[in-house]
Amino acid sequence: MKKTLLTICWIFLMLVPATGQSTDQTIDDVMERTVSDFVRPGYEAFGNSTSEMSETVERLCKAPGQETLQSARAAFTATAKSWADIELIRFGPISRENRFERILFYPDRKSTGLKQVQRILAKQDDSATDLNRITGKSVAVQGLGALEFLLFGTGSEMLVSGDKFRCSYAATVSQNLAKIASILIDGWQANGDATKTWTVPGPDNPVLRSPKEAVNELLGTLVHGLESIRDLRIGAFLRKETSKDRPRVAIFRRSENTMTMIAANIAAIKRLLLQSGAQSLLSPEDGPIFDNIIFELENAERVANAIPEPLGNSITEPEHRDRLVYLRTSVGFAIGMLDQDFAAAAGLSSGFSFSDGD
Amino acid sequence: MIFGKPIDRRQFLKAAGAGFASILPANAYASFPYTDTVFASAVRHDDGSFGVLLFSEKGEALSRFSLPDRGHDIVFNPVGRQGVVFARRPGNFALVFDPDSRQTPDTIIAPANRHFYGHGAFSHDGKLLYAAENDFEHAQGVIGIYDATSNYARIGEFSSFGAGPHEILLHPEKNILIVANGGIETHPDFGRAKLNIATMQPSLVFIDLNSGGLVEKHTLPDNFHKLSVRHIDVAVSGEVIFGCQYEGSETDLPPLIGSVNLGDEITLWPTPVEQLVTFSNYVGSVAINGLTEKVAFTLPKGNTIAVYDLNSRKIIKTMHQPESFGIVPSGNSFLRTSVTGFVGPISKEKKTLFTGVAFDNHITRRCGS
Repeated sequence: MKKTLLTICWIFLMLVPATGQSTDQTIDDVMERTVSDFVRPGYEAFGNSTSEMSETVERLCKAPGQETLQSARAAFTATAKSWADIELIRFGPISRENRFERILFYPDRKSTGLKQVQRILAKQDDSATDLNRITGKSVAVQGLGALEFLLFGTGSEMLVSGDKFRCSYAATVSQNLAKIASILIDGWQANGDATKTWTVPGPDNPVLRSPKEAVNELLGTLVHGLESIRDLRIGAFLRKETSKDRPRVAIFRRSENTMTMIAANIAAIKRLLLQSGAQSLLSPEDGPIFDNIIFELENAERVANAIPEPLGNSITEPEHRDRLVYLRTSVGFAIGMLDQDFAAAAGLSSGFSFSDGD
Repeated sequence: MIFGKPIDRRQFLKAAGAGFASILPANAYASFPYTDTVFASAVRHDDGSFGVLLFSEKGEALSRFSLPDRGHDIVFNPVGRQGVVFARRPGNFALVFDPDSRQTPDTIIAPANRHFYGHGAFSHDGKLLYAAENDFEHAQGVIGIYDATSNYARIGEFSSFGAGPHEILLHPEKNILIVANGGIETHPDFGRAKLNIATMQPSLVFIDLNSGGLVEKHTLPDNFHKLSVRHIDVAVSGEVIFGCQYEGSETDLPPLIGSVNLGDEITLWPTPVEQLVTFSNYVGSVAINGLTEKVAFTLPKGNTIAVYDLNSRKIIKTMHQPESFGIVPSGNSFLRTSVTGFVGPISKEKKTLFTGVAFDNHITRRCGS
């Protein structure tokens, strides 16, 4: 009898939630799915698109022409989109060696990158056409921002007739991106340190020392991802007063991918929530909190997709500008719901991002 | 209000005035002038609003008032009674209050091309107030100078000699300002986003307040350039103890704590890895206890408080204290506050809970009312 009672007590203790309504096993599952269903496929897709881009730009350099330039430009758009699908991940191998900034340095408030790229072109700086040496150059001249200017910016039309240096520089940047993507994919292998760190929280883990810290990390990723959309992507060009709007600084406005990036960023937040199984961190009665967040994100994604390119034209039309204002508000709502409602329901401090004091 | 949006003076008074002197029990307020030591902290309320809470050493609430947005640190005039609470980055307001009065606080609004960083310091004679500010169009830190004898009129500024000045303190004996330049470039157009992580250059500087000139500038070795020097305290000897927040990979475990004195090299204090793991690469605040010659650090992301010996620079103990944020010397130990609303000694279970309140990073003490 005594043994039976002890067994019952033991089983009960094992079922006591460590945080909010979720058990440690639930949290482990969510982190496992975050890595296996979102992070790993995301970097693999980015790796595929950068490899494809690298090959396409190589073809452009070998056979300059309208058709090969169009192919390279299309490959750029695919690569930019694949980066938007995964760029909210700021932990793991991406946080080393400035990889995040080397893939995309944005915002470039003082146009530092643009000036540096133009200087490289003017001087025909051959260190920018050497894969080993470009890595050591400014983060602003070796990633997607530089590549967009090379393929779409002033002077890019010369690629049709054959601008050898410009094309070689674009090819090197493409290879550089493919190389970084390869490092990220390797870094997230199933048996690697990053996977272990982010999927097995516990006292021996140097980063996530408890299941609660793991939930914190996941929620922080979602909230900071949305804040980046609101403050860096939309806030960069949409000002309080129409006269102060700055569409010329919008992300990838030259390739007319601004809204593509924003819509993909929002979709990625939704996908991470769904694919990680984050809903399981809440009790069934808190299900509407999760549903409301998904609804808001779908709403925001739909609005983003309804704003046509080029952004420079759309933002001057009241109908589309109103949509942009609404979009920013909608993203703000989603932040509030995650930061307040979801966090509290998952057993974290309400307004958990408050703990980033300064 | 949307976080971080600049406000004008009229908006501010509407928001803050209504809430000022929204006092707790009348008897608590009545006892306030007789309380020897007053602690003050910026807080967030459960409804999402912000304010300042003043409380006694015993954890008794004395008064509170509203802020239009999130506050950060509070400084008290060393020769007067006034306190000043600064908006958290990128806020543009500071509020001047007299804790013994029910009068509406005065406001300081940063110039249009500046915002506050949440910290400030009074001059030794209490006549000037210095504020850490951002000249965001030029990505340069500046120290704004305000005349405390003339309604806090802004009378000038000088360079902080680095980007992202955060906590600033006066040297205990010299007319020198000590500035922790976090090294991080931000711009209010982009919220709180950090814009230069790849190239950030933190520093700790000593500035001559007579001339605004640089006395000494200390930087960390290149491999630690992502260690943002944020919070400082200064011992009576003039030794500055600092705590950092790391902007590199989470799996790096750099030393976060160090010291420097005028004329000396900057030093990072060695800390065993098993303890660095509990720091989570983020120091929330720093406090020196001169009586015991100990220095304590809150590490809110690691749910830890660490205490070091000021002389040996060795860690004495760490304590698991969930979400502790503010820390201040109290008797032979330290008083701490938490995000979850607790106030109490660092090493004891006994503590007071302020329901519906989350304390911000810093506690400030005003002695001898």
